[in-house]
Amino acid sequence: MEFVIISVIGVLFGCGTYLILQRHLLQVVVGLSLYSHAANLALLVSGGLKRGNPPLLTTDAPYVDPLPQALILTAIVISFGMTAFATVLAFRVRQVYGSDAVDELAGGEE
Amino acid sequence: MNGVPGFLLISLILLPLLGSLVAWPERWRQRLAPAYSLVPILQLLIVSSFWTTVQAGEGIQCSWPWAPSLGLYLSFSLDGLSWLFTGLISGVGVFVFLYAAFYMADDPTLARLYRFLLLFNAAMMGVVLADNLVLLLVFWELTSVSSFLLIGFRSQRAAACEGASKAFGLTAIGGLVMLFGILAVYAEHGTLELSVLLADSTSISTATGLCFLVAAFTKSAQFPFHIWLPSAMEAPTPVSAYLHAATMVKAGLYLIARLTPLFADDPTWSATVTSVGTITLVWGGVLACKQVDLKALLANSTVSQLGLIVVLLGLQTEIALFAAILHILNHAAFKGALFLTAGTVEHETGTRDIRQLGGLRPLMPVFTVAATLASLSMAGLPPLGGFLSKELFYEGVLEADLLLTILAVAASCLTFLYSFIFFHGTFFAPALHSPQQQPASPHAEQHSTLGLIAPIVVLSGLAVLFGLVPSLAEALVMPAFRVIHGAPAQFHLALWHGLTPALGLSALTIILGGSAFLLRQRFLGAIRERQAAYSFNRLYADSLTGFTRFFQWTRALYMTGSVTDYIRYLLVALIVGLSIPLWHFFEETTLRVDIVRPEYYELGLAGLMAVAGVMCCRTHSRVVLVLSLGLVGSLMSIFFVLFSAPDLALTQVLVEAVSLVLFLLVLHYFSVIGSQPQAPRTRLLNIGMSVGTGLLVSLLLFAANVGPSLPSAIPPYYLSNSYLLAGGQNVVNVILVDFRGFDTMGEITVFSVAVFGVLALVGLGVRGQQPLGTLFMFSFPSPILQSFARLTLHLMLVFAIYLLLRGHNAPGGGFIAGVLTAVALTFQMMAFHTENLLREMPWKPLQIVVVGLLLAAGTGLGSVFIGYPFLTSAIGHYSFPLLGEVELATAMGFDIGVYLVVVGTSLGIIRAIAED
Amino acid sequence: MMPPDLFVLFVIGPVVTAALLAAFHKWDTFQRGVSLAVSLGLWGLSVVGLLSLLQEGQQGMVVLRMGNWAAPYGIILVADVLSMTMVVLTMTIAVAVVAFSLRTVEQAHQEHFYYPLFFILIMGVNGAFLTGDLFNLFVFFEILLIASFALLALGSQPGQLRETVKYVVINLIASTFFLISLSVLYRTMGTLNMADLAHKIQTTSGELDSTLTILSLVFLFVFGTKAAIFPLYFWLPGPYFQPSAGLSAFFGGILTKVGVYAIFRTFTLIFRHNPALTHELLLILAALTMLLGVFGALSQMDMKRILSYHIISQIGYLMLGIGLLTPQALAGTLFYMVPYVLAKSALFLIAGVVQAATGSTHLKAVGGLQSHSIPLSALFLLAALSLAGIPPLAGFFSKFIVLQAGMEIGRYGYVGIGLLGGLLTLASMLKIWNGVFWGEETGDRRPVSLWPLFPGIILLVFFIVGIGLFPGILYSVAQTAAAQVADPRVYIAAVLGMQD
Repeated sequence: MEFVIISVIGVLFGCGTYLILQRHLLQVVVGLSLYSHAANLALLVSGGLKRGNPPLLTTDAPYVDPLPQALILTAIVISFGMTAFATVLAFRVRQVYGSDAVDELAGGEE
Repeated sequence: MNGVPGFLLISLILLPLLGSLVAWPERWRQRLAPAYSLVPILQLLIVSSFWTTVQAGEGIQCSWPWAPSLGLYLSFSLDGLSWLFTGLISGVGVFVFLYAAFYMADDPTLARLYRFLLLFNAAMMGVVLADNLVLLLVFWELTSVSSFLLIGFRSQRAAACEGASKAFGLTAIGGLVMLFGILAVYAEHGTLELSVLLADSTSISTATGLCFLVAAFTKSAQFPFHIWLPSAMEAPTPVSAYLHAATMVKAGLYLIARLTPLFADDPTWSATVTSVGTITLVWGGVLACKQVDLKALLANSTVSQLGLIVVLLGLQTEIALFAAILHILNHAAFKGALFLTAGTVEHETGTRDIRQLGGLRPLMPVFTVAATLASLSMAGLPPLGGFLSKELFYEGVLEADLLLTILAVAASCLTFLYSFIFFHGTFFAPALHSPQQQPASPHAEQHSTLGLIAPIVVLSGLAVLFGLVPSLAEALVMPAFRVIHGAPAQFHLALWHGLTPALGLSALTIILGGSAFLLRQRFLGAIRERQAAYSFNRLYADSLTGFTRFFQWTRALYMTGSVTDYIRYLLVALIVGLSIPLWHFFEETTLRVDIVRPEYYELGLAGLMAVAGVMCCRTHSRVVLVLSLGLVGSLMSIFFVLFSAPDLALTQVLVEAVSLVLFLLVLHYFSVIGSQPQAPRTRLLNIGMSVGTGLLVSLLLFAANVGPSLPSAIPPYYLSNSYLLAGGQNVVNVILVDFRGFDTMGEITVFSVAVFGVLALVGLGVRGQQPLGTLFMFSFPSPILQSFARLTLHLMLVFAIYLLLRGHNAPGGGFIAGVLTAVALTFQMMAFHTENLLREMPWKPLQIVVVGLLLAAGTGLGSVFIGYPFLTSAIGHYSFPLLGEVELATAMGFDIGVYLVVVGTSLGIIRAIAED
Repeated sequence: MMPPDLFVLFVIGPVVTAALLAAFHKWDTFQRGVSLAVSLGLWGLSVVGLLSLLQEGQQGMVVLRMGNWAAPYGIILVADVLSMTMVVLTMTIAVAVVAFSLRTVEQAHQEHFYYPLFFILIMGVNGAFLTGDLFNLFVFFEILLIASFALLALGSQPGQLRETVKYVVINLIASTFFLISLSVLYRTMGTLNMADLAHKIQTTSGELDSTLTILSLVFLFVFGTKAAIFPLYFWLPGPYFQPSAGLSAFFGGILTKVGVYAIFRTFTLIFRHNPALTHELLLILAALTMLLGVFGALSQMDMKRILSYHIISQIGYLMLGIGLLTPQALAGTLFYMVPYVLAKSALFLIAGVVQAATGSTHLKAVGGLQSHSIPLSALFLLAALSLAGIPPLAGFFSKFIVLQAGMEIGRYGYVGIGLLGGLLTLASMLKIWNGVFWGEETGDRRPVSLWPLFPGIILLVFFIVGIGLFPGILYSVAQTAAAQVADPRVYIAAVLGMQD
């Protein structure tokens, strides 16, 4: 099972990279979201997949490793905050800068 | 050892240092400024008090620990060599300081000039007194800094700034190379004390020695670093006289002399010093003859004279060393006088151009005599001081070899020539009244200029005195000589040595130099006109601009300002950097595969996720883009269900819902995707990088899953102690609020900052041209929906509270409950208008966030107050109606804090955008 | 001895302050008064904390178990001499920046959470220095990131937004890879606690080496991006140019150093399995970073941009010390860090004063400021010469110690490159000096009193001069820190509670 998910992670990373390299800010934001989904899946894989019940002590052992889940939860919240900020930023760039094309944001090195 | 003499010794440094810190009050600044001259006078007194000590061949040491673990001591020592230099620094200092008071009498910057001069004086004293090599370097660089400030003293002038930077830059090269040498010495011998190194006659490698030589050459303006000295003439003339003739440029000579005993038998050292000195000697002389500016002439002559001393130091014979020291003394006297002459001439006539000057003799007779005598001393005519050292110089080179002798004579002829040009052109040549020239006022010498002439008279008087009373010069020089050579000299200075070859050479010099002077009209004009095809100055300037251009060019090449490019660099670095070790890994490691077979529907879901990802890339529709992302998110939560992570599944679903609202709010604001397609090549590149990155990450994770790994003790610990020690059955939640509660503290901080950030983003700067569609495009102002919404609101809120409270034992917890609440309230915002809801809400989102943060942090800090670490939880069991028995841990307070932060932030962000 | 539990205040204090400041974000006096008071208080506390560690010499290390859970199960804060020195340094800069901000931050920015965001930033930085857990480090990275995002964009000017986008995107990519590397780490090593990790590595015998090499490179990529080393620094100069001077000072001084610290910590504590590969790589990258950074600086014509490129160059020196890996080199790295951060922040603040006085920091648009304000020129000269390593200022001894360490083990080439970098640094500092302070008087002279802007700068320059005059004090601190770091067993034993 791990290898299936690892392949999916690879695909998500590929798609994310492709989107981040696009011209449109919205695509970049979506690309970053794909990145974080993929990273969360990677964390999930690190605890092993389909190797036990949910780590609720009311159910029966064996349980899966609860730590990656806790880490992912933290990561989800953080990336939610980041994505929210990035989205509003992109939208403000569109408003103030008048463009949401990434290559029009070039410059500023001189 | 640090007794009275020691304190006297360091007072030589401290006096000027403290003096430079004295700032006179604005009102009296101009009048009190000359009082700074007291410092060199006091120094001269102190220095003379050491007379008997150094005459006896003894020295004074004093030392205080500075940073002993780094080999640093504040150790100073005075011996004959440093004594001579302290004498020069304070002696010439007295004249220069007094002269400056008259030279810049009405200049409001006089006080600052004095303070910089004192700073330099302290630094220079430090150079010659320091016994610790690093301490020496400290003062060495300090002379560079003060010289920088003094050259650029007239900072409005571009040439002054350039000259200052050039001097600083070139001498800094030397300083850094010397640092290299010092580091090498320290690494090799474990000490930085010069006295220790010298006492043990430590053998220091030639390479290290060369490092010190480079430093000395830059400081003493030796070829090819000599170019800074003429440029330094932008400094006010007293500065030129003091730093760039009498003292600072001699620091390099001091260093060579100081280290000579260590390299007495080193042919490379000797050859290097001699040859560099010779080139400088001749080249400086040639350049000096060409000059038409008095100060430029003197500067190049200084270069040449410094070369002469360097040659002598390189020869290392008894006579040569003696001559070197003697010439240091002589040169300080006559060159100091000549620089001040140039200053006075400029002060009185307004020009330094030798072609326009002339005829000053009848106007200023005393001045003329003094300046002429100093010039003749430089030319090496008997019975002046310069003659003595020139004689010895000839004897020294005669001992060495023929070529050197020829070059020496040639250089001396040049010296003769430019010395004569200098004083003849200024005083004796017929005055040439061109329109620009302001003629010297006829009564110049009578009143204001006494102070401008007296120092010159005294200095050139010394130049004469050294010649007439050789025993005086000998007494001054002998202690220094003894330090370098190790034994007193076997001969005595005298004007008349009998008919020696050296005397013959002197005569030859006078004949050749004299005839050149007489015939000067034939060639001088031509030489002056002739522009060198290329000069070292040009080389310096060109390489500066060349480097700058090159740097600009390379920077423009990769710093494109486009973030897309920067991302590409990052990814290339990552792919290149990781593929090599990954390759090695797969080559070396025996793979260990432990497979859980996937079900078909799982494969299907995975496939669907990949398709959703690709759809994000392919679509040109903003809505499809966002919905595909939502699909990926939803599939994530399904995977979380499949892989036994109910908390994650709940969280993911709710987060997806809120993000979707967020995206939809701003979506129509963005332009249409793909309106300007990328070039095919870029597209191909992007696809390549995407595939590469995806593959890399997959391989990385693959490697982690099939390679060797260590067992973890952590999950068993959590599973077995979650209930026992932390009172919760939902282990994930217990980890979040207890085991790793600190992470959660950070996480809610990030989350709450998002709301600050968003409020700031939309609150500042210009607003968009068209108002955002707010929530109207999603609002359903139908009464049925509104009552439905009101009903669901309360249901959802109750459910959220339930989730919050049971989180410790079953899926739920602060975050999930918080997002659920936010979803409920957002739904309300859609059903009604934002404003209505706001009126109903007792608190603003921001306040909720703050309370939540404070509650979470406060719960944690509570345990600190009762003596436990931050976030230590206490547990109690209570039973509630409906909920059954609940373990109420203080962690619950923390979780409620989380809840509040999440509610507040989610609402805050959505509201901020919606209202904008 | 300071009560150990108080060490958590360096992390929690700022966030509580930030929350309070956010709640009353419209109260002008409250904002400024509380900010100054808290930063001063935490600064004092951090100094006391460091001193109390130093009293115990090499054993001076405070281990705090968050939630009272032992490592590796709970999160551990570790205050050793290295991390506490970094905290003291951070708080010093924070005090200077707050003092500067009191007079320079616009009312509108202040009402839009300037100070709360700044304190969150401090929280993130201090947390990153103190944490002993790699996932927790990720969390603190994110805290300081989002705070820096918001601060960079504060004002929503077009240029700011543009550069913020670049900064956000690059950093979020790096953060994602941080998560990936953590997942690989947990999968292969089964722990996230640094001490536990180091312990596990020490007790295995080489079969994990190639995994570790991969891990070390991924972490190097992540931390190196934050630290702006070659070839990952490209993002830095643009964003660091944009914000107000106070923020530039903190960003330029401290933020990249968090990345350096992370490299320092991980490559001394954890990734020591194959220094011939990993640390050799660090050295090469260090040399390139040093040179390319200063090349970039020399190509610029704006004071703030020159300073921004210098950040990169100086990072190279720090990496050099880490790469050399001898105790002397590690002490040198820490000794390098302190004066350089002080000087860098001071210079950015001075750029802010120049901006306030003339309305520009471009070398062509400003000139002859020396006659306008001699104190300002003096402060600049001291900070700039220290940065260029001119004795007897603190920066000289930094260079001296790092290069001495290189010399001791015969890495002459790197010593040479270090010296060359110093020369070019001097050249670019002189370029600023000639452009801004000397030359013809050009540019506006705004009728503002500059003195109120000076206290923060004077504070920093005071330390630069002080360290230069008494290098032994900082050196003994650095030596203690290096002794702790050079032998990971001390750290491991302290965190895992093992007895020797």
